[in-house]
Parts: sequence; C-alpha cells; structure tokens
Amino acid sequence: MPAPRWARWLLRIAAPREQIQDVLGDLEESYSNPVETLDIAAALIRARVSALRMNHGSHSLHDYKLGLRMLVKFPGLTIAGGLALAIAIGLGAGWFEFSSNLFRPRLPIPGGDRVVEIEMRNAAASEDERRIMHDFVGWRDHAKLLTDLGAYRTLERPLAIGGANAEPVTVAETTASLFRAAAVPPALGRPLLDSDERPGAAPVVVVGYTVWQRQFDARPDVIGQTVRLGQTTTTIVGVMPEGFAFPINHRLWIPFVLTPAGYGPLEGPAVRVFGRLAAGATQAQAYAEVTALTERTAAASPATHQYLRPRVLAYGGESPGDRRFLEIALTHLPIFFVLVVACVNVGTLIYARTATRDAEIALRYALGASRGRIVMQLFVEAWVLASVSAVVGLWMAHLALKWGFATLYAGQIAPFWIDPGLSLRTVLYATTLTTVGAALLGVLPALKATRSQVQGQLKTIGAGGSTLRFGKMWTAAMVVQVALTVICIPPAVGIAGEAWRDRVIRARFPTHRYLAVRIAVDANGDAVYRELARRVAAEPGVEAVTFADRLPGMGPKVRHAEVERASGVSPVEIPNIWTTDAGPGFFEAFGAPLVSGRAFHDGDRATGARTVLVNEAFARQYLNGANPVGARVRYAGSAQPAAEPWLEIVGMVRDIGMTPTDRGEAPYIFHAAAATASPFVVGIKTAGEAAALAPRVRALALAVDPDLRVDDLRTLREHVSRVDLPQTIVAFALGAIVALGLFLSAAGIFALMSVSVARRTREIGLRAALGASPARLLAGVFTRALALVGGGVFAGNLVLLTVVGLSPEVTIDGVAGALALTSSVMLTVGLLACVEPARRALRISPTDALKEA
Amino acid sequence: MSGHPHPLAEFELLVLLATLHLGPDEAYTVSIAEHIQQRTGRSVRRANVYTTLQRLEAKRLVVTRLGEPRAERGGTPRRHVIVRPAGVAAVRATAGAIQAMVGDLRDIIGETG
Repeated sequence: MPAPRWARWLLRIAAPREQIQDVLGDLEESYSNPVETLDIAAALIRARVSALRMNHGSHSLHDYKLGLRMLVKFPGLTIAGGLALAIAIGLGAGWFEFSSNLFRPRLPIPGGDRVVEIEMRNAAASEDERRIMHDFVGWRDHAKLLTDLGAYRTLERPLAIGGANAEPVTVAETTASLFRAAAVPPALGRPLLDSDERPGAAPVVVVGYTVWQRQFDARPDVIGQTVRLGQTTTTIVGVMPEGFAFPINHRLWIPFVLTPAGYGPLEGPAVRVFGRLAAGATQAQAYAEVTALTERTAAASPATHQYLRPRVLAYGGESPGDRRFLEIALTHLPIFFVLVVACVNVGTLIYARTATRDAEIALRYALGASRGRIVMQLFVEAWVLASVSAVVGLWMAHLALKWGFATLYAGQIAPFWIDPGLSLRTVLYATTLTTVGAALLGVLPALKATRSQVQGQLKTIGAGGSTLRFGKMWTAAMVVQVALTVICIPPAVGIAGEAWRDRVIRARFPTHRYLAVRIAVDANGDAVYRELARRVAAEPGVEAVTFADRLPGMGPKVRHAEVERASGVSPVEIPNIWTTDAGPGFFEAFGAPLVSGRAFHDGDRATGARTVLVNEAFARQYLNGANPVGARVRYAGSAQPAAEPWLEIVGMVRDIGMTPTDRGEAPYIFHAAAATASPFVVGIKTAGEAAALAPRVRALALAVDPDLRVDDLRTLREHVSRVDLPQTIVAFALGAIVALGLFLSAAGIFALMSVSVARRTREIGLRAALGASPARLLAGVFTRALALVGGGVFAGNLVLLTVVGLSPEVTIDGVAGALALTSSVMLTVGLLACVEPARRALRISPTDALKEA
Repeated sequence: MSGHPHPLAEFELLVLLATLHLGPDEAYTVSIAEHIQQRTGRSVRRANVYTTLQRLEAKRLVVTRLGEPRAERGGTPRRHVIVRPAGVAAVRATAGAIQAMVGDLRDIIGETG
C-alpha cells in the first residue's frame, strides 16, 4: 500500500530539506510493510517546530504577557490603533466573504466548482431572458463540453399529507439530470429518472431531508406513499440526504415534463439552466461552445435571438469565466490596500510608542539581547494588538454580514450554499491578514528603533529626551495619509448625501401601503390576472390593484434611446432612460395623473402598438419643458446594430417621485402592457399597512390557479430597502473609511507632535529659561505639524482637481465648496491633534529641563 | 581527534548499540527504531532517530552510505548506518562507565539485564 498523499505532503513541509528523500523512502517502506507508521509526520512536525523556535530565539509567554500589558499601559494607542486595525480587518474579512460568494461560491456538493449556470442576456433590453427552453434543448443535444445539462423552475405548491392541512413548500420542477449534475445520491429510494419526464408518466416526487423528518417523522416506509401536491396526487420515490437543497434551496423535486413537439424560439416556460463542465473542459471553452450554438440559433431565428448573448457562470456566482487575474485582484487588492493604509497609520503610532521606550531597548541591548530578540518582542507586542483588533473586527464583520444577508433575502428563499456570517475560510484568511499586519506595523518600527547606536541611546537615559525621530518615511506616510483622507471625503460625502437624499425623497411616498408580488403563469396570463385583481380588489382595505414588469422603486430597467422633437429635427441622444411596462390602473395606483395628452387604452396594449407615455422629468430634461405629446422616441444603442422602430409619445404623467437622481426624478418611458408576459409584478395599494394582507393575497393567488408561481411577496418598502442595500453599504463603508482616515490623521499628528516634544524637552526648557514667549515656543515645535497637514491637504486637493479637470461632467465651481470643506475639516482635525502636545510642551519647567541637562 | 571518547547521551547509546547489533547491511532508520523498540519495549519516535543519527554523524561517530534503490521505498535507496571506530570507542567508554557505576549496586537495584 503506498503512503497516503497527506502524509507525503506533510513530510515535504515538515522534514528538513536534506532528509526529505530518506524520510519519504522510510515512509513508503513502512507502508509497504505493515508496521507502525502514523506518528512519523506528527513527530517530524514537532521536531520542526522546536527547531524553528530555537532558530528564532525563544520568544515565550512573557512576550505575550508584555504585549497585553502594553495594551493597558498605552490606552490611547490601544483604542486608536486597535479601532483602525479592527475596521481594516473587519472590512477586509467582510469583503473577502462577500466577494467569494459573489464571484465563486463554494457549493457543498461533490465537484461543486465544476457546476455552472448558463444564462441568456438580452443585450438590447439589458435584462435576462429566461424563456430559453428552445436553447436549452439545443445545448443539451449538441454541447460536448457540458454534461448533465438541466433546466428547472421554482414553484410553490401546497403539500397535503393524508388528511392534514396543506402547507406551502418550495418545489423544483426539474429535469432528472439535476441529480446527475449534483452527484449526490438519495438517502432513500431513487432520484428522478429520465423516464419520469415523459408525458403520461406517473407523477413522482423526491422529498428533502427536512420534509421527511418533519412531515413524515423520518419513517423509512415513506417510499411509495402518495401525497397531494397542488392538484396532483403524486408518489414519493426518494428522500435526499441532509443538507441537500440544490439548485437553490428546494425541499421537493418533481419531474419537468417536456413537450414532445419541442419548443420554438422563446417559447415554453421561463427556466434556469445548469450543467457540469465536461472532464478537462474549462469555463471559457464551454462559453465559446455555447456562444457558437446560440449564434447558430440566431442565424436561423434573428427576430428572437438577434440580441441574445449566453453567459456561462460559476454556479451561484458572477464569475464570467475561469479564475482570472481581474477576479483575484478584485477579491484581494482592496483588502491589502485598506490593510496597508491602516498598518502604516498604526505603525506611526507604534513607532511613537517605541520612541518612548528607547531607553528600555538600549538597556536590553546592553544586557546582551540580540537585535532579532528585540525585534521579535516588538513584533509579538504588535501581534497581540492586531489579534485583539482582529477579534473585534471579525465580530463586527460577522454581524454586518448577517444583517446584510437577512436584508437581502428577506421574504424569499436564500441559497443553500450561503451561510450567513463569516466562514472558517474567511477567519483563516483574516488570521493571515492579522499576522501580515502585525509584521508590517511591528517589525518596521522595531528595525528602525534598533538601528541606533546603543551608546547614544544609553546616554539619553535619564536626560528626558529621545534619540528616535520621525524620519522621511514616517513623515511621507503621514502626508500620504492626510492626502488620501482628503481625496476620500468628497466622494464619501457625495454618496452618503445621495443615499440620504434618496431615503428622504422615497420616505415621502407611502411604500408601506403597497404590496408587491411577482406572479408567473404558463398560459392565460391576462385572464388569470383579471380574476386575481377582481378577488384582491374585493378584499377590505384594498384601494387599487395594478401590475407592471416592475413597480416604482424596485430597481432600474435602463435603456439607451433617442428622442425626436419634431419631424426633420435631428434626434437627441438619451444615454439612460428608465422604462416600465405598465398595466391598467398603474398611474392611478401610484398617484401619477395624466398631465397632458391621453392615457393608455386597450388598443395600446395590442402587439405591435407603438405608443408610449413619458413623465414630466422626461420633458424637462430632453425637451426643455415643452409638451412631449407628438414627439417620437426609439431605442438605439451600441449593443444594437440597428435602431428599433419609432414610438409616438401620446401623453405625459406626473413624476411618481420614487427614482431620484442628481437632476430630480429620473426620466421615464412607459409602455402599455398586457398580463401575457410572464412573470409580472402585481401592485396592491391598501388603506393601511399592506404587510397584513400578504398571507391573504398568497391564498387568493393559489385559489385562482394552484399552478400559479407566487414569489417575492412583500411590501414595496421592503423591496425598496433591498434595492437600496448596495448604496447603503457603500455609503456606510465610505463613511467609515473617512472617519477612520480623520481619526488616524489626528492620532498620527498627535503621535508625531508627542515624539517631537519628548525629543526637544531640554531645548524647549532652555529656550523658556532664556525668555522665549509661549507663542514662539509653540511655533518652533508645531511648524512641522502644520507643514505636514498643509502638504497633505495640498496634495489631496491637487489630485481632486486633476480628476475634476479630466472629467467632462464635473466643473471646478461644482466642487469648490467640497474642497473648501475638506481642507477646513482636515486642518481643524490636525490642529485639534496638536492641543495636548502643545499643553505638554508649555508645562515643561525651565529649571527641571536645566537640571536634566 | 582528541584521545577522550565522546560522552554519549542515553538515546545516542541505544542508537549506536542497535546499529552495531544490526550490522552495516541492515542498520538504517526504520530498522534501528524497530530494534530499540523490540529490545527495550519503549516507544521510539522515528523523528528522534533521524535527529540522533544526524548528531552522531556530526560528531563523526557514525557514517552513512546509500544502498540500492528499492521498489518498496518508492524507488529511493536506504541510508545505511555504519559505526566508526570512534563510535565503538564511545560506546565502550559509556557502557564501561555505566557498568562501573552500577558495580555493587545490584543488591539495591536488582539485576539490570
């Protein structure tokens, strides 16, 4: 039997280089003869660790104790530096966790990193196209680099067992290939089979572990039992093991019965498509193959597929291809940038602390301590500070991620692979960051502090001075830090101001009185909607019912367009125009009455109709406030080889006030929609709190049609909070960075001035004895602080002005106020940081200073 | 080399004795560890044998040579250990010192063999 790989790997790491071949040979021989083997690796690691200890000087528990005592002895540094490191490590860990999940989450299934999702994007409309059954069948039949391709959609169905009341459960209607792609066998019975997909096959269901535990009391004889799922009596054929919830967070799996006649382009239900990369295939190769197949479809059916572009994504993530430099850089570089900035700052503080301890360091030297021993001790002290900060930072990041997760997935099923909070991987990553940080901020000041001659340092003992000074490196670091803070203030204030403005404006709209629910239906959408609207409108407290592709505040659908004011006048380009497909009663429900022209009528909802409404913001921004009725618009953009047909503006409605921009409300184009396009969002306006109506609406929807797919049922306020979440997070993060920058600048200047005063105690005392006035004394000491802050402010403003000069959209007049504000804030902070060292300098008694001299 | 043999630590003595027992063709790390374990009944960590052999080689008490590549070792050869005359002298001196110290104590400590 060959030695296990892990043992060989451990030995390669642990064994001394000159012994590796011998040790590996002995290991192999031990496994070929069944003798004792297992302690070799452990013993070697122990030997290696003790060797490392001997090589690096025996830093002991005392160093750690000293590090903890230093935290108490220098509370200012502990609070300032600890907070800075905690924020830096917390931001780093949070970003690592977030970006890992964003780009490439780890699926807890065998070979999860080989599972991909294939999406179709409409480049012209900038939205996903999910009616891709035609494409799915083509990919499944012809793709060579993707295996086990499958399609599924999510349903919510009432599950009734025996005579018990039905409970709604989340069901995946899926092709049987799901179980092959997931590569997880059932705990009991069998998975879905290809034969289950055939029309006329007996209805079967595979149940999840929690459903089996809770609703079937984990009975092993559940296989073969029948349950009622919606309107169908179906037989349980399998139970999946604990933790399995692929593809999103599903509890039941039923077969996707494919239409034998096949599907035409953009026909069939909206589905999601997944698959597994074939052995040896890369994501980029699979993408190229799927693109080629889609282009073939586009050539055969240009009307439907002209603008459709497939994407092959790491399953559950946004990674567009195989791991690339950009993705790795986006994951790690922001973290290292924040960490290095924080470490440089905290390093300044630690250097200042070291400056106050140079007598102690000189004595240790004199008593025989090596430079390495002293550097190691200072590193351990920094490591203790960084570790305490890391615990605080990780705890903050954990809470923030849990909050973000809860907000993001409020009212809907969260992916099974995301565990709210920090993962073990992230904690290990942060531990590495902490050690790197400690090395940066402990070792550099320590090397600098131990470079001085011991005699010079010993001479200063008892003389009240210090031989350490803030050299060019630390001064440059301080200037850069002040400049960075100055640069960050305007965007932070801008984004926070924008977030606040949006919040205030949207707060005027009674979003809590609106309920929004996404409805998907396979056929007869119009009839289903009308019946649902009739029943909901009959409920007490309901004031209006309407539908749209999205309600105001539920995020943008933005397109590129142009408007023609009058015939023969060249069109005006509209880079970003918001569009909404609005159903009957939409404007009445959202309080946007017609201002001019006419409202939509049923003829506008017919296929091929070319009429639109716009809002007042549209007329203000693109027609100088003129009446838009009669003008024409069309969609045209770089993604479109040819512009779409002209559309006539037949009316203008008042701004709803839910999409604020820099120039007031966003300009809108409204299309008249019929409830045939699935899914659509039903908006319900109530007299009071809309949340109370949610369970009733769900029940009514399932009563209208048990096969209706009801999703995202929550108040408009919750929808808006979710859309605003990224902006809120960015505003908070930038605000935290600016606050941190200001705080650290103040702390750094304070440290610099403290060291400066300590170094010049005798000089200040002598000058005071010779009659220098307090003002002259302060000027002598603090000119450098002012020069430093002034230099940083100047450099920061220079960068900002350069950016403004390069940007066509921003003028110097527009940012002058921000620059003045930034400069004055920074200078004020700098001066405040000088107050305590100034008091200290003025308290130096001339007689004491002369005695020491 | 000085006239006085190197003093040996206890485990060094055991390793040298095991090496002498096994002979130049059979003494290598694995067999030395097993031999000590069999004869003394104490658990022997192979990592300790490696470091002890390194130390003995540095003291020039043993010398090592590579044997033929062996399939059961993944194609690597055994490193055979040979005790140099200085090693034999060190064993003799240490064993003699022990015997001299044990001397008439058999009544108290009992038989050692």
